[in-house]
Amino acid sequence: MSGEIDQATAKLSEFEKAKSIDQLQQAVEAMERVLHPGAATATGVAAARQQQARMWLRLLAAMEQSLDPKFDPDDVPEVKAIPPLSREGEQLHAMADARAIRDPAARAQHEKILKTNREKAERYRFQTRLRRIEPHIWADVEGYFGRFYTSSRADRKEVDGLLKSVTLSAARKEKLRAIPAKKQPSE
Amino acid sequence: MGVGEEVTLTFSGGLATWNATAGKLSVQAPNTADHVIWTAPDRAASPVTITATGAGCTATVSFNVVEPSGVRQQRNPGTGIKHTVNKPDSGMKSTSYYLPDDVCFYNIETLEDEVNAVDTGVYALMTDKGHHPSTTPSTCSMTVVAGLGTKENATDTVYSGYPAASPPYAPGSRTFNIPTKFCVAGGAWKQIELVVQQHVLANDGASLTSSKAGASTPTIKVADPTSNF
Repeated sequence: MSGEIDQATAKLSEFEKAKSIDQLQQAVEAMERVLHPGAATATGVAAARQQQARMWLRLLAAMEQSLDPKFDPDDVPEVKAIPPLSREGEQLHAMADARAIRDPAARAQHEKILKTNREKAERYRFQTRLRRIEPHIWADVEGYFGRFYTSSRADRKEVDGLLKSVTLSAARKEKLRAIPAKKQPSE
Repeated sequence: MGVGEEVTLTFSGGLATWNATAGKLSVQAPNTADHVIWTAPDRAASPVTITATGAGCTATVSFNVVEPSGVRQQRNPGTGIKHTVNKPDSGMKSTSYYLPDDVCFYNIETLEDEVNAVDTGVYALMTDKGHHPSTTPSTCSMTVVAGLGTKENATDTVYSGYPAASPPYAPGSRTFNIPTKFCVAGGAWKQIELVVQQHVLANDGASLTSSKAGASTPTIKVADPTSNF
């Protein structure tokens, strides 16, 4: 296995644990550094192609499975919150320090609102960044299959086998099956 | 192009070898493809040249890449003014935008840094001076508005608060000069500018306004009835 594929595998594993888009981005960048299958020597061209294609599909699947179909980009997060009125009659400003709230119950109530806001902001950020990276991964995968697979029976069988090994939407699998079909073996 | 902005480039001659003087090319090694996605670098650069060599020729295209140069805000349409009857408070819900308005900064993230308020008059009685912003960066949308720039994916709350005091109130203001910074997602942070958020009780001791980065509340009076966003 090439060093870049090892790196991509490790970064993908980190992404799946920590759900950090930076890790997914780094996995994609590692795969983009992998030399095309024709340059393979140690594992042979056919094995290198299959190994690279499988890794690209794993990245695509990880991205797709993380997309939240209920995500609403118009439901933007609130970045600040107003603390409750103090018993002394002071109304702190938006984004005052929660520690400035003397009443423990009021402080806990405010911290709960801040936590809810923070979690929503983190989910929103994750889903937004995921949608930004999606076209890059798709362009890479589409480019790979278009370039290194043909409409030959052997290639179509290999693509079918690869697609069976990953969890991807039926629509995306269909698109991927159609890519090599456009390219004749002699091209 | 804005920092982090992307463009799909196609070489009409078929397969080509691509190179860029800055930014990132989404293409598998050794940089050969008939089309690529180029991502602008995360800092200003002029010009960035991308070349595609294939079919016996070389094609080039150049872009100037700019960073966010300023922050603007707009009050959220359909929202009200927050105020408490006989208290010196005012506030609004708003959204930030990033200039210039001839590029799109959809791939930047932004944060406000901590800063203490400069309080005078009645606001000097406030016990908490800090501005303790969210630690989760805000993302930006693909919406660009003329005169404002790229719209942020977040709602801001601009609100003064009020001290434990009774009228009459000494005229004064609270001013936050908020360091506002950007990064291209996952990159290093850089300050855009100090954004001024200000809440004023005018010299008449009755008129209140809140403003931030070009957005402002209409003038209200201390004695106006309680209202919310």
